[in-house]
Amino acid sequence: MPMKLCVSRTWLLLLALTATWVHAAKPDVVTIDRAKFVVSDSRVPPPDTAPWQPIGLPDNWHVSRSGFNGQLWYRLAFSTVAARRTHALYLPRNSATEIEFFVNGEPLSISKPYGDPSITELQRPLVFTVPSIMLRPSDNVMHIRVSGSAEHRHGLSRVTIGNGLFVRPLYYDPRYDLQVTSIAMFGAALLVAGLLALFMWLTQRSDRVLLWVGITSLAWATSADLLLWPPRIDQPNVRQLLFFASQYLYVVPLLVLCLRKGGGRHRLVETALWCVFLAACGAAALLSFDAYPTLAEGAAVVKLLLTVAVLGWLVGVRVRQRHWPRYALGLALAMVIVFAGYDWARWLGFADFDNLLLAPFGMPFLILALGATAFERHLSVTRTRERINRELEQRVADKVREVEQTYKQMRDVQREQAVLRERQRIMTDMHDGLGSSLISLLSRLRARNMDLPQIEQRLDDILTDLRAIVDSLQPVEGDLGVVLGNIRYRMASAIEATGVKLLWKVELLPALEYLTPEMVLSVQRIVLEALTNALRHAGASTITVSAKHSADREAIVITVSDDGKGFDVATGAAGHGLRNMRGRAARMGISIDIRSSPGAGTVVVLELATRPVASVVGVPSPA
Amino acid sequence: MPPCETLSVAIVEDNDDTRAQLAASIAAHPELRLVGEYPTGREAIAGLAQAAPDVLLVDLGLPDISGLEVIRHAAARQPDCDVLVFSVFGDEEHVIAALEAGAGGFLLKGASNRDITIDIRELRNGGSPLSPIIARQVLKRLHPIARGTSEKPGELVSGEDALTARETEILRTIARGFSYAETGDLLGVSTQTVHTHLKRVYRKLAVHSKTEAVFEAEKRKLL
Repeated sequence: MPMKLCVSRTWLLLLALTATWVHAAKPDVVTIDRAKFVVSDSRVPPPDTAPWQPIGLPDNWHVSRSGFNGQLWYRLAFSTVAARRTHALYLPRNSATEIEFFVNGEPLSISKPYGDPSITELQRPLVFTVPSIMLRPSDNVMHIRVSGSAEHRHGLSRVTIGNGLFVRPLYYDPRYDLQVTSIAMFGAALLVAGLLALFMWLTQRSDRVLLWVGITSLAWATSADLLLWPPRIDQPNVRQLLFFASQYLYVVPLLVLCLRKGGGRHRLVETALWCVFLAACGAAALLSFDAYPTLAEGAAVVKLLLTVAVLGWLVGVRVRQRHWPRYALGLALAMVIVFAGYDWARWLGFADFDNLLLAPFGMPFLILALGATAFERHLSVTRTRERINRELEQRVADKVREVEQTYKQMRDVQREQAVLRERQRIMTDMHDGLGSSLISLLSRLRARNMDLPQIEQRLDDILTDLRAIVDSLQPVEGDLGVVLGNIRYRMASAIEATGVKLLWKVELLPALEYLTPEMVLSVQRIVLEALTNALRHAGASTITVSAKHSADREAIVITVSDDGKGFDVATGAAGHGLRNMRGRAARMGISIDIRSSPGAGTVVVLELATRPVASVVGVPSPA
Repeated sequence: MPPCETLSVAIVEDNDDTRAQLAASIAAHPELRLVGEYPTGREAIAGLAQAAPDVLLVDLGLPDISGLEVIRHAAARQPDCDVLVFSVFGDEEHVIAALEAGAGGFLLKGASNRDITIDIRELRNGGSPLSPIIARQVLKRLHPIARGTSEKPGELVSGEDALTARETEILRTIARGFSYAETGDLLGVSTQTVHTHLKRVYRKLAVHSKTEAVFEAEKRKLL
């Protein structure tokens, strides 16, 4: 709707400009700046005989009659400028609590008198239609009744009258746009900016400056709204309060915003500001109509001083930063100072009474400039954070890759070492076990001091050992039951051939995590040795192999026993074989107990701890 | 299978002495009949269709092609033929591969002086004795709980391939070194039942290896 209005006005303005050009030689509009006045409380125009005195317009009561509070009559003489045309009467500001017009003795408006009882400083322009029938061909007289007070800067502005077709588009409309539409548009802009700032603050709560940009923007928008469309309230005190609020509502948020922006939170200063604002609001609500202007004056001075001080400080603080918002901020501050100074001069009567109030134009730029700096910072913070996050992620990824690489290399090295160790062990086994066995067999064969069964037995032993080496490399996952089972499987035919009875009592055993191929081979060799001894030398009829988990000893106990003729362990008649078994067991940390006595059979007991014995793990391969 | 019926046997063995020895012991047995002797894998594959033996003895280490090829060929073309594998060491890798290829059992070369014919009869009855190590590997491969082993993480044995509770029990007992008869006694079943269960396990192993092959092929987009 305002948009449409603007467009239509623009058209009218263009039309009017064209008309002005056409009628340039014959102006249809006059602006009256001379009048006569008389002080009178009369409700109708005083007679010509009254003591009229000449005066120039505009008449600022604050200047011409300081302290005056009452009613004044003005008499203006003018000629009709466009015969038989509807005329329009235009005043740039509504500068009275009551104002009434009489043309040639007739009241111009049938409604109640005009005026601005709400005493807003905005003081919109006035325009009235003057029908042509009210006008004489020449020598017209206009009486204007003005009621008001000098303290409130009341008075009478210049009066413009002329062809209605030109007065509205050429005088009233531009003034209205400058004074009202512009502020409405600023209000809309700050409403949007404020909401945007609040939204951004919601996405990044830590940035309090954005919050205050939002609050300040919305406060200014509210101020503008109250200034442009003050609610119709009859209570004079509430009206004063609203008027005060409409002028100063945004000031404290603005100052807080500046302080926050300057860095840190000045709790005391902020509290003091809020207190002053609330006290002033209270005063505005309580003071009488006549006393209010004093408060307004004081408030305006305080506001200007505080704004300049805080903003000046802020610009100083931000001097080091060379971002563009700083210049915008400085420019806006300068504008605020100039505008406020001008308004102040106008208030004191040094500037033309008819001119615009400029204060509403400075602040929006200032707030927008502050918003821009906050927004810029928000963006840079966001960008920095994203960059840091990216860098961190990259660094973490690099580290992970590095660690993985190192780990992989370590594993490769370990595997390589394990393979090397295993190869070395097998080589040792081949060399010391198989190799030496084969060489000794070969040398005895060469010496021809072996019979065929002996050769067969030695070859069988060698093959058994070879199989044991191969079997020790098979995966058994720490299951000693499988190791024992495999020995039986390998020995089955040999045992069968001797006719000895084998009792097999291997229970389910817990897995030994630390069982290496080397240990498997040692267990195999010890058990094979025990079995071979029982088969070949003991003359046993039954051999028992048992294996069980002993919970209280925390060990797996393997027993190989026979009912053969036995031997004396102390004398070591069995010799070499027993020493071998004990040696192997000792090297692997396996406890071994060989019990035998002549005529009482033999028992070989092996104990493997269910938990690894620290000293055993990782022991290099023995020969 | 009635004991009086004669079994036809073929041998694939590159070592001339071993082959001759085997051939002699088979020829000497009244219930066995030698129908083929092949020194190479290719010759064996070429001659098998015609010979159609009941039992095939295969050496894994052949000069031309792998013994596994011969086993696969025989298992695919002659489902009635039982395959018996020779191995010097009977190590896990070779035996499992042979079982997966479809072999019904294996013999250790030179491990026993006993007559080869006993092994052949055992094979016909339900597979030759599983070594404890092999039993344990089979358990690991087909046990439904033992999924995600270190070698093949995420491997899952599907329902039909998985071992039953009884099969698991039998394999566990055999893995501890007990004979088939002792296993039967311990579990309260007959030796024949143990054999039957093991025969099923052999089949599952072969089927599982095929399933795995299909799975692998799908994974590599070969199918």
